[in-house]
Amino acid sequence: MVEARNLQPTQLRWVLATEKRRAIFIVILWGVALASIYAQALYQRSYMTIYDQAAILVVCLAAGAIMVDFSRALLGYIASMAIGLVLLFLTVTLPSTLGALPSPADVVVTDLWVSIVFKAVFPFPFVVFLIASLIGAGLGESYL
Amino acid sequence: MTASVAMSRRDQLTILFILVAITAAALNVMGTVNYLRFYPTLTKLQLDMTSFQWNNTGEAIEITASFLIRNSGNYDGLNLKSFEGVFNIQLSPTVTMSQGSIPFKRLTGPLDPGGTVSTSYKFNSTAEAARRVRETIDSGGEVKFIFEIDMILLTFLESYTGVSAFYLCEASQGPGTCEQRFITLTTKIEQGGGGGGGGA
Repeated sequence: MVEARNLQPTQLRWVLATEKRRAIFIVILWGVALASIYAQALYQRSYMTIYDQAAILVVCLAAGAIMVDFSRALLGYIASMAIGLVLLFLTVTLPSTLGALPSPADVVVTDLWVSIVFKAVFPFPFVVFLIASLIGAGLGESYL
Repeated sequence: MTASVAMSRRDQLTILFILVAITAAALNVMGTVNYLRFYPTLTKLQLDMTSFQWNNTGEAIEITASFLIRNSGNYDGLNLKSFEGVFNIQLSPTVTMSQGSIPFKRLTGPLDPGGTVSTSYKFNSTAEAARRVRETIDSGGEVKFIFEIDMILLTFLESYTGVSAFYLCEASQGPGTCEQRFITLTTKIEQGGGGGGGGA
């Protein structure tokens, strides 16, 4: 008798067990990856270079491919962007939040970061990465 | 007898994605920690007047002053863009003579954690100041030389805002004392003109 032994570790099997679980896990990590890439770029020069944009593009392509379904990729992208931007904004405004900056410097810094993040994300990058996610979903449907 | 079931391509991509996301987050921790050190480091930037000498020739006061800038914080990524200032001569608590800007000198350099940048100046005051200083000293008064230094920094926020630290240095003879008064963030507006920032 031949027994099939699955190569996946137990924890991963739990994550991949259902589509819903996989999607939620991927969306959260998608948001974390977006926040990380944006943060490392904005901490260094307060704008995104072509390489940073390319990294996000690849992440969105891959995540879209994992999602496979177009509607799931669309919703996943929006959710991951929301998660990523919230994480990013919480991190960059941490000095203001923790009271490390006196007034009115805390207000100035917060306003400044709103401007920096908004300019880095909207409008064209947001649309381009959305399209990349949908293309990824198409590729996933065809090849995965 | 057992046989291994290979993972699907989708599962492989999922695992790769998980690893990449976790790695990106882990690598970002150091960047975030460095960023959180940025604002405290601005307040820890030290300016020292390491030496100060003046000589009244009668026609002018010949002044020699040396400054040392030190990053006492631990933020990595700070650079000095410009070092500017004006100096005044205080003849009494109520009388101060403005002497204009200190000579322009292109002074730039990295301000790594613990790093220093030094500079020195040699310049003369006005003849009027030389006369008033002599009169003040002859009448038993005390003269103080006051430098208002604006240290303009190059930071990661350069595209959006200029960052500068303002210091007040005082000296009579020998090394003077400097005190940071405030930090200025000057936001850049695309249409032109400048905006005021918050002081710290």
